Amino acid sequence: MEPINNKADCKEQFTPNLATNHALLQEVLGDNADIIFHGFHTGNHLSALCVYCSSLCDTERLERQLLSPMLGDDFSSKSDADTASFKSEGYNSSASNTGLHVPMSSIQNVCTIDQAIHAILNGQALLLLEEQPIGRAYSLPKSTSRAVEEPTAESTVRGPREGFTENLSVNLSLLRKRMKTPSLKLISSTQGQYTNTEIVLAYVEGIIDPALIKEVQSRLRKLKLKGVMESYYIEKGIADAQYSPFPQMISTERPDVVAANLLEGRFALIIDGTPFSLVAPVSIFSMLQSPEDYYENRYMSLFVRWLRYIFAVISVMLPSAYVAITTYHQEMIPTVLLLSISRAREEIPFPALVEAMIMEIAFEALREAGVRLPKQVGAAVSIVGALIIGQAATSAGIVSAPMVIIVALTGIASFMIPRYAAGIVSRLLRFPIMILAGTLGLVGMMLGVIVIVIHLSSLRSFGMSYLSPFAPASAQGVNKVQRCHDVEEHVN
Amino acid sequence: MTKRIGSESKTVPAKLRWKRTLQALTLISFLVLAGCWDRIEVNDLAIILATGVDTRGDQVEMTAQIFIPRKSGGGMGGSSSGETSSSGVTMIRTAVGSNVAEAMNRLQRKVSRNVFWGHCEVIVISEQASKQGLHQYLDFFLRFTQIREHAYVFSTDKKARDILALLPPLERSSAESLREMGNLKLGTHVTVLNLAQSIEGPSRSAVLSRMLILAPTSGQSKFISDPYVKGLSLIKGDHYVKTVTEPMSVGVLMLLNQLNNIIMPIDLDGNEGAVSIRLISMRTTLTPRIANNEWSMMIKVDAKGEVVLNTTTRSITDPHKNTMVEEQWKKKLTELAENALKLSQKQLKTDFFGFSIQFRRHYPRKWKSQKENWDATFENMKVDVRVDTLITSTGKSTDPQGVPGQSVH
Repeated sequence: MEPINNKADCKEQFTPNLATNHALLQEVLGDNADIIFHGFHTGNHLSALCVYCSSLCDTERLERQLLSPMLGDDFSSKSDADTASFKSEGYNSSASNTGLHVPMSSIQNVCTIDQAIHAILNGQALLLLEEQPIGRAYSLPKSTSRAVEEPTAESTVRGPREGFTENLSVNLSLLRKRMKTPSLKLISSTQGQYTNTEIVLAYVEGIIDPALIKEVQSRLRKLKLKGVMESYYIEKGIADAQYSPFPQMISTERPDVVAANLLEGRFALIIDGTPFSLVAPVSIFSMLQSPEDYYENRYMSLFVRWLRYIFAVISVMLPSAYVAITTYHQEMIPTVLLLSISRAREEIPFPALVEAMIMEIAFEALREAGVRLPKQVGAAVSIVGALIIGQAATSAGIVSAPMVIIVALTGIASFMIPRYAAGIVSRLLRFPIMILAGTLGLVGMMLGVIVIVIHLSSLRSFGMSYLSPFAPASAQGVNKVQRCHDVEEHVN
Repeated sequence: MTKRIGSESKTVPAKLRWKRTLQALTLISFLVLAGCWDRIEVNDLAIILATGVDTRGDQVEMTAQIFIPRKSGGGMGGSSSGETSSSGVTMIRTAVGSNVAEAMNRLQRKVSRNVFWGHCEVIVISEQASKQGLHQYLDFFLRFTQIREHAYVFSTDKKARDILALLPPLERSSAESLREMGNLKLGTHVTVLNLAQSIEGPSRSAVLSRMLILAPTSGQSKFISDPYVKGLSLIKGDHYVKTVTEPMSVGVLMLLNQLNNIIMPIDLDGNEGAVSIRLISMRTTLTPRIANNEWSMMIKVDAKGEVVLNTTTRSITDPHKNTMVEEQWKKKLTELAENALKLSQKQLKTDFFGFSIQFRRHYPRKWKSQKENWDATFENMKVDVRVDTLITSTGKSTDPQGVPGQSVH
């Protein structure tokens, strides 16, 4: 545990003097309304100080399990021996220290101010006794997390309905419930100068490449953040190419997805305070996978997966292709279709590129408005949007009907990408390619595609090529990506 | 240019400088190669659906059928669908020039939008124009980048312009009627490319479908009508020579292996009435033979058909009688083929059916040495016609239907 505090004297050890210890703690924590300094005398008339954070500690349990046994009469007789041994053996003997006859299992010895502060701010109650240069931290967390609910961002028809919550220990329990093996390692660390957010690195020993774990840990160590509000803070910090629009880690709120990925030799970062965990290393094909690919009939999964690939391309390219072909390469359109398009476009005042831009931007605005607004108002937005864009704009002759179809299809296509982060990329890349297509025709569009492919093939996610297993090609890998069910592989 | 850049930024290493210059040049070249100035919106196009070629004096008259992209599917629109062509979705523009290219150029001056030939799928050439030689038109159609080489070519004895001016009540445009008829294989199925190849090839001839204009329903505008296929125009060299109509055209199509969609009445000996046979499939194969320096051709025709009408009183379910019908049909087909051959060999002395192509393919060396004498060889060539017919079905009924008193027996 890294000592993080700006006060120089914090590495200082506790003194045997209780009043000094009190003063030291008071200096650091004094101005906080929720930090309680409770001084009292134990059953055998020892001065004691209990420091805890009232907003994090379960006060009722504190009183029942810690304070009342100490104040009680029977405390004195037992604790005489304790105190004696405590004094003679010093604070190295933890066996006797924990034997304070308090009905609790999670007790930690605290020697420095710094450790003490860390413990208090993590919701532990710190107990200091007179003439002892060591404190004890009792874990008495107040449970404030919401219940485990169905993940909203990644829903499936078939599959577990549990999703991660904001509470780390709940999340770990969800994961541990799925993987009852000692090989599952959960390594904890903290991140954030002010937030001290706990991050748990999860992996399965024996499956994962140990070099990968070293690499992740070193990257995490190098990361210096002020705070961690969401997993993206971490993702951004430890990703290979930080300026790439493509996500290099999967963020998921499904414990089953995390567990399945751990079994495939990936690692996961579970972060306190957010339901979204990170999984890496991944390739672009992981972005186009849904957990349900593994939960349903393999032929259907294969079909849906290929549909997703096709629509992923459509979501980036369709408006550009339409613009390029209708403005530069009319001979490529079947005659009858061209006649319909020309009839629809006859009264449109804008060039196809401008028309496409208007529609796409309006669509993005609508989507953004729909996401940000409260749910009840969101429905109104979609009604207004559908009416204005679908109906009024076409009948007023501002936008042609084929363009509405193209934009709608593109919208549906981008919704088909199961990973939200990857879907955003397709929405973003659409615009530059559209401009290229509008200015240079299909040549420009291909130019855009080439740039994207070059970028993708140079991209790495924790050393793994982003286009793998297709580039560099591996027949085995391709087979694995295409075969949705590799349960057999897990077994051996 | 590069020197100046070099002097300005001495700190940049030479290799990097080159790289940057190259990158900049690449980016600039993309802007120069193609760009917004080549952009043509669909609204700025005059989409040409069909082209007609006529002659006026010794000049070429070119007609373009242009699509009017107005929303015609309004429904409420106008009850004024009388004689005005307001309901039409196409219009025509005609221009005259000393050659096709000039005519085309003048055509553009009569249209307010960019004339776009990329969707011209039908070309109608009047017999008048093809008499003067197809070469000049074909070269233009195959050279000018916008025109499709798989556009259908039709011939007409009227003015091509009149056919394009039609506003068919069924189809969107007469171009579409023509194209659909080409797809239905009512006549020959000839594209610009086929036409050029068959004229340029050793047979030096071509056969085009001949289109006429259906007389409009009385009271209707003369434009509200359809083109229809009637007969074939025979092209020798690149000139029009003759028109053939039924029954001769059937024989010609048969030997061209392009006979389709036909019902043939067959007389039966010693019977009143006839049996009509619908052709199901027909395959014509040409087998050349050179024996003892004598060139001959074997034509084998396999025809399958079904009976659709029997106006005789005889039942044809009996296999024996069935064979008789087949024999009669065979006789008829043989006669048609022989007439067509006579026309080709003796009268016009033109190899319409591509015998020369077969000889060239099967006997390339002998063909090379005898190429010069081909005309004489062809005229006197012995041709065997062997027709095999098969009636696969006699239809829904067995006995003749509707014969008075039939069921009394």
